[in-house]
Amino acid sequence: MPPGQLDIERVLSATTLQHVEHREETGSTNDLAIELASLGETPCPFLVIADRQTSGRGRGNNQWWAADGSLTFSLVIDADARKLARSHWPKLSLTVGLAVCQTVEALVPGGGVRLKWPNDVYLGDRKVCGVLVETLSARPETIILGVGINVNNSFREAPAELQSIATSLVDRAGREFDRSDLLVQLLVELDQLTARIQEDSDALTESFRERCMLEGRTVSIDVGNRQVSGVCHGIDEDGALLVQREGGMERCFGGIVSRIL
Amino acid sequence: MADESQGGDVFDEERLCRLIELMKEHDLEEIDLQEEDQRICLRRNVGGGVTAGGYPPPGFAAPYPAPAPPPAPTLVAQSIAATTAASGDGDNITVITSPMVGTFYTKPNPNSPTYVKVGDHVDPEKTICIIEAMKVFSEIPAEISGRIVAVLVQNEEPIEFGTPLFKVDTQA
Repeated sequence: MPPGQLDIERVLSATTLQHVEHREETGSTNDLAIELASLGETPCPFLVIADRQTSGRGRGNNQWWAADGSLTFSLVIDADARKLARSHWPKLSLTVGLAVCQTVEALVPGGGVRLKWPNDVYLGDRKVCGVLVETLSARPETIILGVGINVNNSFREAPAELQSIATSLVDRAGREFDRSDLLVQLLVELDQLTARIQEDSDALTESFRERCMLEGRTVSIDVGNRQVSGVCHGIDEDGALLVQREGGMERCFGGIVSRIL
Repeated sequence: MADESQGGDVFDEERLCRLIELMKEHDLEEIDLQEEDQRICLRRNVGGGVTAGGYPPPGFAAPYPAPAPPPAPTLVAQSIAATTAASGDGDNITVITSPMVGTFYTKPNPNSPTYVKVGDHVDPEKTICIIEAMKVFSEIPAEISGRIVAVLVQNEEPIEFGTPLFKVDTQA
């Protein structure tokens, strides 16, 4: 197998995946995953993975810059099969982020892997991974977990405006990584953590808190037409961000973190 | 019908009369409407008349803990969850409650029409709203058949697990 190429057979044999849809290039793995899931012909869990994603979606109108060497995939799971009640779904963004944190911590020495609430992972002060979770009303028990990780795509060659805000594992560790290994470890981690959402929620919440990069910092969250500013007190048991304002503590369930001091 | 998306003054007399008629027609105990900075609750006592009250809307981010609305002993300014639990709705009225904590959206994006409005017929697969929390956007199906007779939460309002969202007449 050529170096750098994903070993799909190994990924299938080492995980609980029922199917892997591998494309050299696709617009968005989440879009393709939604298309396949809507047909209802592919057994869950299944994975949609692309070597290159040309229009990966992030929050709102954001796009995920995915050069060769990154790992971009969408894991499609059945919430019923995982006994994952809908009330716990909001914690999925953080849970996927935590799985990425734990996988990267085991590979990259030096620490500094943090969750940026609610759906990003940072290495130091730069973003290394984005998560986008989507659901389908047509198949209400199906959940799409979209993940983009900068692995071997060095940002030394990225557009200048990205270099100051994004990084990759190769930039941090100074060596390339086997993406198939990383993918297998991450999928195993995801299996374990999604099971814990329901069974061991307190421990999971504690893991979120330990890695919350906003805790103790003054933040501004744009929520609708207003801004919530104050000192972040971490993440609560529902996954909400706690912000101490002059008027009291607020729980933020959504919004954009627009400022961190 | 009391369609919150129609705009206009929530205290408009004609609208109030229509709402009262709607409550009588469907034997509803309470309707709670909000429009920008105005909010009105109408409560129909069993065997009695209708009372009304208004209070400022909550913020987008849920306060922690949730503040009680200003006291209004002669009016009905309690939380929807509390009053609905003691609702005198008929057996034909089913309340759809929130399956999760988050922010309630009546439409897929600001420029789209609402998923449903009062008077619409829904079937179990019909998407009735989106609840967003921590960037997880969940389309919520009705899971029952019937006609929407009340929308109990405003667009972009923070909600908790179990918050009553819609009243549905399952025999309509």
